[in-house]
Amino acid sequence: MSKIQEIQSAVETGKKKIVKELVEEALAEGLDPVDILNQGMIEAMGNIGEKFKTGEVFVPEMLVAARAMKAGVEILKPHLASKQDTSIGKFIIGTVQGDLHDIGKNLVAMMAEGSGFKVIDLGVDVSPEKIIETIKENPDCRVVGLSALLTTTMPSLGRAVTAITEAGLKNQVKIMVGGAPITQEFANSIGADGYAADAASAATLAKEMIAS
Amino acid sequence: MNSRERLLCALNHKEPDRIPLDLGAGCSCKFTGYFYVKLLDYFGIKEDLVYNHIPYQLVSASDKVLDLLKCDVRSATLHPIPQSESPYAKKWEDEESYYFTNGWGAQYRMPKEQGLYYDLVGSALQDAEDEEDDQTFIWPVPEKFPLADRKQLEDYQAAGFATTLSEQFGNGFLQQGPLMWGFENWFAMLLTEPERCTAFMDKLLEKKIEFYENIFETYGGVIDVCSEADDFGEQRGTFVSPKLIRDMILPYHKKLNDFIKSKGVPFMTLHTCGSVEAAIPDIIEAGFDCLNPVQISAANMSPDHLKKTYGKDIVFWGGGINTQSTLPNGTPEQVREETKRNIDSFAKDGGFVFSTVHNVQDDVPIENFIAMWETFQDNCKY
Amino acid sequence: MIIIGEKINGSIPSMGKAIQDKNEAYILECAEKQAAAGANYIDVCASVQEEIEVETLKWLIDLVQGITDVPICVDSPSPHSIVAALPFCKKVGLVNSVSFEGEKIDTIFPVIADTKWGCIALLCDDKGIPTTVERRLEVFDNIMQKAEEYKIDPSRLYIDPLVETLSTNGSSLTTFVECTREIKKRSPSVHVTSGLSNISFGLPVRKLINQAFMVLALGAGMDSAIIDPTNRDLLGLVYATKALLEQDEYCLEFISAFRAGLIGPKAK
Repeated sequence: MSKIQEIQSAVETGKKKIVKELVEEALAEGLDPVDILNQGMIEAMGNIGEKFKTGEVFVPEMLVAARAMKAGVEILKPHLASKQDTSIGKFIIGTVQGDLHDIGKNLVAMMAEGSGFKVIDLGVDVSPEKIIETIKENPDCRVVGLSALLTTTMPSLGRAVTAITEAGLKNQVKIMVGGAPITQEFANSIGADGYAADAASAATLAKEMIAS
Repeated sequence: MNSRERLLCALNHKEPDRIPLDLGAGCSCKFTGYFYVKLLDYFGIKEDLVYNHIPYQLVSASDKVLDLLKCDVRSATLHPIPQSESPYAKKWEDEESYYFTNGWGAQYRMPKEQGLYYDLVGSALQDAEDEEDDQTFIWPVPEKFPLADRKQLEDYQAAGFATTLSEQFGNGFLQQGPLMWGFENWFAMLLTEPERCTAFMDKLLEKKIEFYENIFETYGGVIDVCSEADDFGEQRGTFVSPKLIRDMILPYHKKLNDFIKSKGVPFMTLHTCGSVEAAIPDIIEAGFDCLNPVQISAANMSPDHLKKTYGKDIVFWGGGINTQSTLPNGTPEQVREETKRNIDSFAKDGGFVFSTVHNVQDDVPIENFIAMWETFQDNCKY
Repeated sequence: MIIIGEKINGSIPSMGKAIQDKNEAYILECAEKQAAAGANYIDVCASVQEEIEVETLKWLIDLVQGITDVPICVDSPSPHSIVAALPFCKKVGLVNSVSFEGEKIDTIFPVIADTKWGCIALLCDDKGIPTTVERRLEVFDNIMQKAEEYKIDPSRLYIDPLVETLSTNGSSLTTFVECTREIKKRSPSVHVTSGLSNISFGLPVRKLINQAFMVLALGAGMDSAIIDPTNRDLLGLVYATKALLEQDEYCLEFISAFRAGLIGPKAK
């Protein structure tokens, strides 16, 4: 097994310590840090995402893989800094106003980061104004992900999408929505550009959105 | 048949005269304050609201309302006597939000604008890194209950109602951890540091048993059903693998169930949200008699499949109407249609207590609720 | 020997002023020096009005924890303030203190029952400090009974038999010594501690009385003290006495304390 494959498998199984050691060894062997990141770690997170989608792994497995990747990235960082930006794009994410649920939102953020996005996490109970302000501050950002867990905050999701549209920002960003009670039909009805049922699908959808 | 006979008959997997109905009593079969006001208006009743669950803003429904709804189950109204001062408990507010911290050190916040619930924003051990740090946690001491309160349940039973205790000590064995360490830390710990998790759950079991000892000091012999809540599922499946639930979590429930039943409570309900189908055989194995809230909209949780596969071994307490879409957002016609369909799926051979899938929330139109209730009344006879 | 560093206490005038002026540097220095001198716990007592006591304790505890890992001894006359301050501590420490006065013990014991926290317990009750050895031991027995009720192991208790002022009560030390001997006989794993400086009140050259007390109390079985560990003379006496009492094999601790520069003449 090549070093990169070893890193990939260690990330997938969530072996934080081993990932750190392997990344250090790989760097010492002169491997390209960008390859370590893309082929070693991001691909591993992609695999985990697929397995999560099919129900082969569960939330804890995804969490420890993400933590293992994070530990590896910490070691890579100083070596990446000299090169150009390695992220594939920015991803603004938040839970809408009145809703404080962040578990699903955090999983999406984690998978998006694992797919190579630079994630700007606005947290929970985020007002439309705050979202718009952040989009304006990041003119290079092209994806926004919004979450609502409650049937009672679904209208708030609609209000956020409307506000972004009315601020004339729809030509800059695409909006994806999600959360337990949300469906594709609901996403369509409020004018969102996409809906994802789980964290891994959200990351895939975000990649499609920046590619289109 | 009185209400109690009806419920016990259904729990014994036999068909009573009609399907028993639980609204407002059992675990997660309750009403939020805003909705309850709509219900009071509908009946033209004036009452003061009695909140019994602050984070979810749930109220205790009065006997008058439960009588009007022809509900078969009544729950104990607890008046806990604290046995210790909590170092964590406090309440405060700032410009944007209301806050409180409970006896478990879990900090909740509700936005003043557009906020309908309190949600978890911090926990006692969120920065704990090892078992030594975990030991700084100061456990809440299970409360005791006035002996005189026993009469409430005795009276309910004498009047022919089934009785339930819908409160518990803390959250379940899987779900208390997230309130202590934070969701992400706990779920990672389950895989990477299982010994920290089991040390905690050992203690939790001890405390839960102490809680039930206190309960039975007051209510021994007059409770028909107890329930423990422990959410295992999300929309698409279980949070953690069914194997982890089987090996690490359910053995604790089994021990607790054995204890509770040894004290003369005949039936135990597990409240567990989401798609839990994969865990149902193990849930039955752990000694649970009833499943609640039966989230039929989640993956692999269709009424026909559940009834056919597990109907002989577990009672479905819930599953009457989808509260994630139909009840709040459907038309009264859609509510009627779904209610009827679910009854048709679940009713045969008993083993079914009709209730909404989870508490009835603020945004449910009263017409939809009444449509559900009328449909139930028209179709509940065996 | 378990040493509880006494210096961060608002009732000491210089510290009281530092707390009032929010003089972080002074408090940090005090914490660091006591930790370096080998304190096992650092006592933190705000000594401010009750309305701001909990927030002041939080501020002090956070400061101390920011500079040292030595666990905190949470000190307040109000049991409710103590309970409120426990969650601020990142390590399991000591409670200072309970007694049989009012509801103190019934407030604190249920809270720490299921923890590993230690607790200082004073041998006094609602009638004050009992004058006879017998009466003080009665309070001791009552405390031990409460501890048993809450399943608190004796080894978590630090009994302070209390010292009165020698200048007004000639039997102060003898009472203390008899109590200590009897406590250790009845419950060998219980600790005996003392905030000893009270003994010398109203006398000249107080430190001589304090030092003599320390030696005699250690001889009677005291195994903890609430003192200023940066006081080299007093600390030196503690190490020397322990060596003499066969509690320091080959005098190793005495020697290493000297080598570490904790006792003896200061290196120039």
